[in-house]
Amino acid sequence: MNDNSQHTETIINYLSGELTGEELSLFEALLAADDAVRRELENLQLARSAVRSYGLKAQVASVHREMMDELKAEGQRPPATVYRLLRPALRVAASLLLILSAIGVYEFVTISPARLYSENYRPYQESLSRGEAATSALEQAYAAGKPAVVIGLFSKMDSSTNKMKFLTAQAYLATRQYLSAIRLFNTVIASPASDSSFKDDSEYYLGLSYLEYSKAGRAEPILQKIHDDKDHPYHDRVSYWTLLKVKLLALKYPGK
Amino acid sequence: MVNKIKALTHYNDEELILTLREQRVSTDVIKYLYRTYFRYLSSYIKQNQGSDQDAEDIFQEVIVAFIEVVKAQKFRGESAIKTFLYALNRFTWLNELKRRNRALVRETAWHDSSDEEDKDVSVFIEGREAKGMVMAMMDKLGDVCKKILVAYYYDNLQMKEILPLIDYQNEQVLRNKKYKCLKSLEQMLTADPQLAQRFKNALTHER
Repeated sequence: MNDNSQHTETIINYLSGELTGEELSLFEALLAADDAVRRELENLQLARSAVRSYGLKAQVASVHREMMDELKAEGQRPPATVYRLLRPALRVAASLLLILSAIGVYEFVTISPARLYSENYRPYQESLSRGEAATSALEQAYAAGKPAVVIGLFSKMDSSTNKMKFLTAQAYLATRQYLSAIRLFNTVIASPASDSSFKDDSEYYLGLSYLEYSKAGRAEPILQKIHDDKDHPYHDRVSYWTLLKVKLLALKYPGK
Repeated sequence: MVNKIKALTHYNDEELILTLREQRVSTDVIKYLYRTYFRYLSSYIKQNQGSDQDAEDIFQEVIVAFIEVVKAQKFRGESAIKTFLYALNRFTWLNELKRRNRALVRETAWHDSSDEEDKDVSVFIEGREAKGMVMAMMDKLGDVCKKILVAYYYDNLQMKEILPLIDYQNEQVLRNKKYKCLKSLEQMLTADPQLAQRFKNALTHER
């Protein structure tokens, strides 16, 4: 025990909110006058915080095994969780059926950025007929399905073509680094008019990246443009229904 | 009962944050976090050299860190919870790889990433090591001390409610033991002022 331990019990009672009336007033006066008491109070508060941190950690740990068993069991039947999540919303939807079609309501309730992304995302297939005549190490790594190597090679480059940026953005998508992917796709789209390669591809995948990044509001104008442009190489991939789902998402998650 | 029902339904981000700010976190809300985010976050770990066990360990740590960030009122809600958890998960895993001293070139490149999300979450795991050391201090207190302190300061149980959990004669004996346990912990912390300061910073998420 240190020198001011004669006050420890009072400090602990104060921490526990057990001091009242005159006892409390006397202690507060002591606290204002004695730096050592104040320091001990701060140290005991820190000890209490350590206990609370430990308590939370222990609580999460106690839930963990039960949840692992549940999740592994549900891995055999994935729709169960989805249904459980949707069931109350579907009850609400029943009242809306008077004015909305069943399909429309179902889509609105079940639509999610992750679902729409996974429905539309197909990894870009490298075409050796496009871009540079010689195949670079980065392209070879991409074709070999090694996104981490692609990202590593790109980070060491002093300059890069649209194609390299585009493939690296694809590698970021494959490794779920959506912000980095979005940044690179935007760089390709904003590149000078003299190099228009991969701009159309970048537009489409930028739209998908925003979807997965829960930014349906940003994905919508991009995908609308592709849908409206019949000459756009990705026009066929953005169907009326896809666009409708994106609009539903933007409506469901306004401001995102 | 309300929390039980909520665990089986969907929380929007705002509801989740409000619920997590309660002093003792509802176990059902923790279960909701597992059901909603475990698969999503663990896939990142497993795609980046982590084992199933790594994915489980990091998820536990991320959930604890996230709840503490919310309780400290440091989650500003500028990004979706899913996005925030993903960044926290990624950064915690890269930090763990670094700790194991087997990070590869690509992880180093990611660690130096200029993504805004990364900068935002880095402050939340800076005290990871200090927190681990303080948690080890708690273990040194022994099972009885841990049980009493957690029951009182985390579960908010009254002394009379704790008494049946511990084989003590009466509340005064229990009260004395609680006093000694907290004082022992405080002394362990003050014996290492640098660690105490790092732990304090980790709790307040200040550098």
